[in-house]
Amino acid sequence: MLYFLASRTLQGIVVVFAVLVLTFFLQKASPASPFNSDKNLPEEQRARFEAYYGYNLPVHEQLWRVIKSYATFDPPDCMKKPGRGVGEVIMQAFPVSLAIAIPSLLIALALGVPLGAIAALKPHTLEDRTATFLATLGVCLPSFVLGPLVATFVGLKLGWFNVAGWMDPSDWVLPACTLGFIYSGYVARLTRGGLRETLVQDFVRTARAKGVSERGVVFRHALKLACLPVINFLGPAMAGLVSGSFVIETVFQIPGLGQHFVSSAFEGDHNLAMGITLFFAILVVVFNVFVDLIQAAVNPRIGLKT
Amino acid sequence: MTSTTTKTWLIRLAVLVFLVGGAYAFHLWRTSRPPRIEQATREKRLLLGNGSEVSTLDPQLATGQPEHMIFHAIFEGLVAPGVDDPDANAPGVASHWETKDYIHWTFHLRPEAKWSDGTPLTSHDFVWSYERMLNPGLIAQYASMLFPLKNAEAYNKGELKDFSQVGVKAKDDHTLELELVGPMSYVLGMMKHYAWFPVPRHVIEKFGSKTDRDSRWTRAGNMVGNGPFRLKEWRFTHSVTVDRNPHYWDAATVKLNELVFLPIKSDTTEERAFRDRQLHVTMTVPLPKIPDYKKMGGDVFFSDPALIVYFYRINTTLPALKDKRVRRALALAVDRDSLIKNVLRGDQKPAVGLTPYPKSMGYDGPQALKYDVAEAKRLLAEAGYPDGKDFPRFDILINTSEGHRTIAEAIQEMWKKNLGIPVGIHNQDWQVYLESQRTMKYSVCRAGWVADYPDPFTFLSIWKTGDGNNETGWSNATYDELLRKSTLEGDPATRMGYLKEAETILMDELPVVPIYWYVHSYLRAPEVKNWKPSVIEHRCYKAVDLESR
Repeated sequence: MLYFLASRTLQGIVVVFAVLVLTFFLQKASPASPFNSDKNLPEEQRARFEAYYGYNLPVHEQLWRVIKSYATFDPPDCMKKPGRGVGEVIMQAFPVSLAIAIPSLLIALALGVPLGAIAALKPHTLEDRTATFLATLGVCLPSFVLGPLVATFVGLKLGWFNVAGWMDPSDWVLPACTLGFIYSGYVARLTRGGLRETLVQDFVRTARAKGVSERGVVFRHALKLACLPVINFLGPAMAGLVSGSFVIETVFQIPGLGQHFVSSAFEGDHNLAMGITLFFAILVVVFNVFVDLIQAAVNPRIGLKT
Repeated sequence: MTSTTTKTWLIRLAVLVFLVGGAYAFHLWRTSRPPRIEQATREKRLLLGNGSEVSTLDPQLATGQPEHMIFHAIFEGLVAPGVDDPDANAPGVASHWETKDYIHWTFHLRPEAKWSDGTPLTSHDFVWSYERMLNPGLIAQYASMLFPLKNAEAYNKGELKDFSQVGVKAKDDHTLELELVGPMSYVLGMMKHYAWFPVPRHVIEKFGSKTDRDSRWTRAGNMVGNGPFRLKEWRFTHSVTVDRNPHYWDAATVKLNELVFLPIKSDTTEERAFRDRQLHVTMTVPLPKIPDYKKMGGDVFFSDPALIVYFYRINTTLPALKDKRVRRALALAVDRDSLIKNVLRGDQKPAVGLTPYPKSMGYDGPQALKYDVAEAKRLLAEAGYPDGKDFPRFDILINTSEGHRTIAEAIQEMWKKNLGIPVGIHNQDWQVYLESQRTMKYSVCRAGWVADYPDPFTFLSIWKTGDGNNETGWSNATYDELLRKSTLEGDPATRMGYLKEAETILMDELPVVPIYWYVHSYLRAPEVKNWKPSVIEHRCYKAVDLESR
């Protein structure tokens, strides 16, 4: 176990470092500049800005500055938001994104797993078609369509929740339900596929032959194994949810990470974009380790592969 | 029916009744919540949509509209928006002022003026603030707003090291003397821009150096201002809240207890929030919703004049577009009235010149443009392209936005139909678009210009030879000379004459095709009282009140 964790930590550091270097060179190659704005800067002012942010240094020195700042846990300030540290922005938005992400994932699982199981257990029936239709709807409905629909009908027409804002304790409900429904589509499809594949395996046939009830076959034997693809999906899904959804945050006016992610790219704020990208990379690495641990616990045959 | 079946059905019925009852109770519970603005109105807390997140709350580093809206609450300049007319030049920190030649100005500061922490505000604060703003080390993008001060430009460019040579002096604690580069009657209007506001030296120096761009002095708890309100809370991308400043010289006039600025980027989200009664005032209204609100009538939709122009830049260095007859043909072939009526559907005005709403500034612009297809065709033929024959295909460059695309498609159609010119539309992301415009890698490019102060000079000065915002390659010596003369002219009427002459040249040469003049469309709840329109969106928040309906 310790060896597994040490090895994955080392691999994670390499991955995050690779992401940092790649992002740095992509930013350099991009036409987006932090010094562009509606009103053009006079040339001498542009030069002063470039000197202030070290853009006049050789590229390898700029890269070294970035590496050093993150290696020493001292991320720089945002370029387009003077006086605001990158770490500070992430730490203020992260809890909000987390407050949406956790219920979203729970809703996705609560809806997706039973829906997928029903579809798998009654293939080619009305139940299967209905469940598959709902799952497809979740996958295909873009958040910029579903979000405003939910806001208008549940928020505005029924008046159950506020249509926008992050003021009341219940303000997480509509965005989490929207995201949860979207993700439940993926979960349902993975569950259906996994369960159908598992139900035709030898050990299931053996269990049935031994007289285990159908409920026991499904819940005690098959579902555990069938959920492996779902567990696999949870890592990147959780990382994606925690790093925020720009569309959902815009539709429901949520001060999460997604808005910063998009606006940093849009405004050419290379410092903030780098910080959030690295944060996302770390999340993916961490959640993937968790997924591996859960998979090993569910199916000991998989074990802790490094 | 057996007793078991009856029991089963009774249980099912009970579950159903429980579920329906529960849903109904939930519905009653959730819908009985009072709308957010009702409680806010009672508490005299104004909830405002404020576009996007502010980049900074340091008035010397800010450049945008969202910041502008907040600065009028937490800062005040020598001159302030009027209670009855925000576009009027009312006394602010200065109770009165005098000038004989519009070059030398003396401002008399109120002895009772204080910072929000109770520290007295003196004329030395203004001198220090202007020194900080102009200091090359701060890299303040709006430093040029202070260039009317004698030697300010040279100091900002680093050509002059001694700040005492710049035209700002504190004669005593309450007398500030300004010396300008020329006679500028309109400088009072400029002084309501946040670049001219004082900043608290005693706080800034506590959190860093004078030229520190990354200082934390603007955080709630640290920040000190001198406006009717002071910063209470700033949560990134969530809200900026300000409350009453007890040390404000005119605190008795202030009616509201708090203002909450919400950075709502999406106009549809903002409009939904307004309908849900979560906002008192929106920043904007989605274009497709405007006809509905107009049809509805009532007292929530407003459409105020604004000093903003939407136009197309033309790259005059390209062979086909070098000919002013071609540019004139392009300008005359645009049916602005139809565009506004059928595409924009707001109350925008057709731009018959570049400078919007001339009369409100005491300026009567040339009004040179009209829709004249016959004349456009004649000019194009004269330039060697009868019915658009052999005219090289070019693209209209736009940044990603449904609105810009719709306008470009309408104009594309007009140029095709009226002139026979084949035109494409090239869409680029914001940053790429800015870079293409800056490096002039375009043929025709959409643009907009917002006035920083209420004077035609703000619209005309950017077309001077070599101005960083010209970006058309156009240059005209007579135009440059007229603008220069306008900066030296003391008589306002003669000065406006020079500017009109300059704009007439601009509208004859047409390196830009003006399309329309903006209006500021927004929604405002009837609870909001004394909210006055302003062409430049100056707000006199101390006059605004909230009353329950």
